[in-house]
Amino acid sequence: MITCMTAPRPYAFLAEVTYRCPLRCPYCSNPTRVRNDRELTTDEWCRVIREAAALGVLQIGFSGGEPLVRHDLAELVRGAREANLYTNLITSGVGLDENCAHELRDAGLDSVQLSFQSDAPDLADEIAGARAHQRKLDAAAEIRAAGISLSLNFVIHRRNIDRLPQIIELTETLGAERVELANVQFYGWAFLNRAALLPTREQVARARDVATAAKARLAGKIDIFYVLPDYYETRPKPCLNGWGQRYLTVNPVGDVLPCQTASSAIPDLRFENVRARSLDWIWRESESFNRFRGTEWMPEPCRSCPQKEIDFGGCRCQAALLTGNAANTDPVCTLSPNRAYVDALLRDLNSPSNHPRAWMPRVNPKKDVIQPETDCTGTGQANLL
Amino acid sequence: MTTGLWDHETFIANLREVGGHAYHDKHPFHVAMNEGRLSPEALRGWVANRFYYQRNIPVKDAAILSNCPQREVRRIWIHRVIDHDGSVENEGGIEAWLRLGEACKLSHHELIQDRYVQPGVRFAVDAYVNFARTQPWPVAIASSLTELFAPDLMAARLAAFEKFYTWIDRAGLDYFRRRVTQARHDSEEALAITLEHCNTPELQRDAIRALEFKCDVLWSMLDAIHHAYGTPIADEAQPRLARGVRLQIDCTTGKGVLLFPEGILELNETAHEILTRCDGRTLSELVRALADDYDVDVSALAADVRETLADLQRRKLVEFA
Repeated sequence: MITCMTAPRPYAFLAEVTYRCPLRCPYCSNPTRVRNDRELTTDEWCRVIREAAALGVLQIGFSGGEPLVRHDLAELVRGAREANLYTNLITSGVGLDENCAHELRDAGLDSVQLSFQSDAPDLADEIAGARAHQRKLDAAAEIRAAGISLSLNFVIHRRNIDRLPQIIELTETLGAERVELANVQFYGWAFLNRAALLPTREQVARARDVATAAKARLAGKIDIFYVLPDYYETRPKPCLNGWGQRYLTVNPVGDVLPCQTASSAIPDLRFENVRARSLDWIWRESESFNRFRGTEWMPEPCRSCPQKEIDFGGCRCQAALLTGNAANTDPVCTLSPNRAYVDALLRDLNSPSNHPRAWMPRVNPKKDVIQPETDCTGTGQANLL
Repeated sequence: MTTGLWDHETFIANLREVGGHAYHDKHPFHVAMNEGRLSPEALRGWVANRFYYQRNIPVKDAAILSNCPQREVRRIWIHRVIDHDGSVENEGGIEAWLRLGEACKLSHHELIQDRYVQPGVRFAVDAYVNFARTQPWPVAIASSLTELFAPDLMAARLAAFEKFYTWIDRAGLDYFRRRVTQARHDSEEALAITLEHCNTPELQRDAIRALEFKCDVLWSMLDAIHHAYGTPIADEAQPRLARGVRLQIDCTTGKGVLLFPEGILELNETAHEILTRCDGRTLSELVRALADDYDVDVSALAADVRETLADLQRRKLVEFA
């Protein structure tokens, strides 16, 4: 295959070690349907980590689900450090007590990204669907005490966006070094719950001002990353810096994904599994990694667009979810013939008669997975609101 | 407490004493600037914030004029407004400062829009203008005497800029060149007016307080600028990697990289050599070691090392013990 000569080098590896999680956040990016299969074992993960390092990867993020539910997490961290990777744990903090913090630090954990739902305990617990807020505050203290670098992550949506000033205050109190204020992106469970989660235009404008001011005020103290709500943008985000360019994800059962949300968003893409193939082969040669690599696959208006090397046509998963075809231009782009879907959604949401919807909490995968009534993994625009 | 009228000699000595302890040339940021220790970003920050002061000076002087009923004084004082605002033949101080900004890669637009003005700077400058509006005019004139304290300040600043900040186009330094002679003339003029018109014990003491107030204005401005653009790195500072930052060799390229949460920074050779020596030694020890290993001149190297470390500090990848 020609592409095997041109495959770039991956830098960052997202290891989704489990889909299990004690929280039930309605914006979870877990797939809404999960293949009922065995999670990778400790040895399998350690092998995949070594293969990733050999490919050129420099950073690993342990994610999920909640990675702490795996009892071998410290062992995986040690394996990653032995492979010379920078290790980051992306966690809800539930289960991260003093012992755990010390064990992870001693295994070589470099940094922790701790998620919060809100600054207000009641709202936070309501969003998480669990009494988790206090445990997160405790976890933050343990991480600091263990001397591990701490970042916070808040997913921002209609119910908590007006609390941005207080949320930033909490970040200052907790002594975090950086914070992501990430407007919810609509994949997985968040896609199902769009109508309940998407903020109004007014909310978005206010939040942007708050974030900009806080960024200036806290410059040099806390790095603030404000992730824009992309439905309100006019050009798409440069998703992943291009498909199969820098990032790779391995999910709990060993499927290798160019993007963590691709397995549920793009049903016609077949993903290779590390139990059957080497990571090297999958990265360089698999159809799933090559399909949207570079710019050759692009349709119009992307193909002739001067921005094509800047935003790479946006997000493949968003194109699939909103238009039914992953190869379309991301419909967030106002040049996309499908932008009308996004506009219709925003118009309904911002109409005076619109009231916030209730959301559906995430459901944990079990033997008999409770499935949502509507299947939104196909052409989403049919059930927008 | 003395209640009597001071003779001129005592009055001048008392005025000078204010400057002896409160003038902004002793502020750590100012000291660092004249010793060549500011990063380009910090120096730009100073230029941009100081512009807010520059462009309000004619407003301040016009306020003094509007309060002053004496034609002889106004005839003298009005020159300040013209010197600063410029005229057909003469570009004026504000225009010269804009050119300084340009030489530092700050556009007119950025300066005129006050884009980088820190809240503390705005408060201080606005307070100064308000002071000139509301105080008796001889007292307001006395507040301008700060330049009396450091007749050589402009010359020293000009020399420091020419020596240390070679990235600034020399033509941009005209403002300082002009002020070297202008400042001396201005302060002598203002002193003469103050001595003549602050002619009661109360006005003399108000003049001292006015000068203290003006020193506080200048000092507060530097505090705010210092706060926003950071402390220049001292020779005794011990640079080290910040928490959560790791230095290693990228096996794929053989180059040094810094790894940190969600980020990778590929290092050039200089930065890599500096960082491998951040092992508890002080900045001056580090510079000496590097100079020995590479057989280069310490003074040439020091600026490079400082700039590299300041840049990494701004990205929060390096901190100082």
